[in-house]
Amino acid sequence: MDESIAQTSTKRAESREARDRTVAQHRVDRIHAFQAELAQLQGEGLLALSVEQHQRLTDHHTQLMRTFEEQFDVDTTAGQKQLSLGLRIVSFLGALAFAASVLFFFYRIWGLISTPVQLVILIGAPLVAVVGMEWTKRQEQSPYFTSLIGLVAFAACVINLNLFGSIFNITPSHNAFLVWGAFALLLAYSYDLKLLLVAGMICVLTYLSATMGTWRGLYWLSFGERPENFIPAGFMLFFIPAVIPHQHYRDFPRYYRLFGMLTVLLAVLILSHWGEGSYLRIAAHHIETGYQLLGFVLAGLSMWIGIRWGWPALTHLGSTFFVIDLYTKFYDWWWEWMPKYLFFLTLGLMAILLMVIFKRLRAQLTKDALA
Amino acid sequence: MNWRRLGVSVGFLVLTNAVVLAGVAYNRSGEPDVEITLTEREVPVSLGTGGPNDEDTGLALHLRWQSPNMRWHSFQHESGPAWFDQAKLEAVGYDCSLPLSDLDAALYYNRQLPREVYVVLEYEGQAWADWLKAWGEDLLSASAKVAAGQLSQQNVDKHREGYERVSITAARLVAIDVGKDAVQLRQQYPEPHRFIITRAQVRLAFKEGKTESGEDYPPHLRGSVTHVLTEEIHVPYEWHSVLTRFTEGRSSYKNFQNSFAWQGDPKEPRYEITLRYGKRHEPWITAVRLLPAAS
Repeated sequence: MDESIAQTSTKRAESREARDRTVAQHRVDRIHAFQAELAQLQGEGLLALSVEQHQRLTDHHTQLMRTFEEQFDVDTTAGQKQLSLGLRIVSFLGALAFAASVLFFFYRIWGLISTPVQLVILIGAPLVAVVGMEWTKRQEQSPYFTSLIGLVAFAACVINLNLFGSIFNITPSHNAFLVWGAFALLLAYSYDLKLLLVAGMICVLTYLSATMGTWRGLYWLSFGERPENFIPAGFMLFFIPAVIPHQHYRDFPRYYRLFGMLTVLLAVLILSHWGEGSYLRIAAHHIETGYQLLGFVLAGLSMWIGIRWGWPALTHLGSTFFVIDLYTKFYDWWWEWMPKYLFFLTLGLMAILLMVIFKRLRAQLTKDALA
Repeated sequence: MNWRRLGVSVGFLVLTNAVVLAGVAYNRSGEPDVEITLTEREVPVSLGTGGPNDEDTGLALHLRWQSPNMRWHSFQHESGPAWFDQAKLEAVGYDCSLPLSDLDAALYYNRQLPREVYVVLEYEGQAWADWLKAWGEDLLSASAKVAAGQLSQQNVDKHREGYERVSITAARLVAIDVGKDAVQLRQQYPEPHRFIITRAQVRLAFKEGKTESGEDYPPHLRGSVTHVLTEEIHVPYEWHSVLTRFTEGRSSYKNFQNSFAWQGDPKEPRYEITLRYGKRHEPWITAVRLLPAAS
């Protein structure tokens, strides 16, 4: 009896700890890593657990993983993990296909129904999809079907506003992106869906960039012609996790940082080759030089921040852009006059040089960590 | 079910739709800003409301209008109307403080992006008469060039054919003014049956170079209205039975020019449409009538 109560209480504690699927999955990954390391240490004779200790540990881990599997449908084996990735890809492609189907269906029936019926269908479609999401969420612990229906709900919301604009001849406005972004983020946070988080970020980014353009008096659809519009919006996304805590959404901050910095680095890269696209009233080649320098600084900064705070994706992004900035510059300088074999040889040599630098940096970091 | 979560999502969608519909109701409330009757010349109809390919069963009218100085034969094509000069560009928000003689002037002004303004479209007024007259003058000038051996008779014949066609089929709406304040424009152009005031996109261009006759002209700035923001007007279901046959099965999506083949074939317009523009300067159809040419 006491044992049963203790087990139940342990289960509850585990449930509280693993508040969401992501946390549970991280725990399972840690258990696998621990088991592998333990086996290695035992093999090397550095650690010896008694049979009883080993059995208790194995039982505990098995029980824990079973609980997580039941509650959150986490992947407890490598094979499951691979299949889950496949499921995510299929879920995304399926959602795209459904969204396209909804769009084509609307256009197909458009001329055959009266305005009130059009309105009912347009308003009803995202509502039905949202109810479908909630029902699916109850049926499954993994988010695959919920994610699929979520994207359909988002697409239905986009079609809803877009066709309202068409039916009532409403002047196109960038405010629609704010609504779509808010809806996508609402679903992303309600159901812990990363795909909708990305959709929401794209919409919000578009809205912020277009708003920047309209502050300068431009027609909102021209916002893409001034890449500088994207830079403040990108930084805003980047700093969101620093301002708003995300304890319950452990993966979300990574997406904000990565997407925000990617936006900034892309805008700077474009401006470093297209000075005419800048707001600045100075000669285009000066603007390009300035943004080239800024590109290197920001790429280096991303790498440093990534290493400093343990955000590997940001480090990878920074190093990728550092190389792109460098190579595009080489192309500008040398492609025209250098024989092609020499040009590519130079790129290869530069790659070796960068590898040496990165390796030294890595060695230094290892030294610091050991100290 | 997590009712709270569901309620928030549903509430968001309902609220969004309510705000959009309230905006539509506001646009259509009270006295309309414009009530105007146009013909097939100004609002040709086609299948499609921006949807994909021929599967779109919707119908849309396409608001057609002329810009002074913009005529379809290229050799008289100019950048924009004379009234859209530097002062007007400044009035709609362009910064034209850099002297045109500055070495960077071309670079600076050509980097300016489009702006959203209100445009005044006059229906069958003096601007239309001037536009048509200019076509006629172009024709006379072309004939003179044939006499001087600068142009072939074939070109002039084509030009004459074009002139006869536009006299019957071209849209008689002409862009005559732009501004940032719709109320001010309405005071200036008070007749709601003749002047449409709606949102449009304008561009700035820096002009310098030589005329056709090889004379230099000084650098100057010229604006142009590039498009009206609500050019495509949705046709509600109740008018489909009347208008569908005039589309001749053509979709605007597949081939824009093809959808208005009627304009290339000089025929009298076959229908007229009464349009209203409301408080937000957005249009809607209130009546469709067939004209004798429809039978």
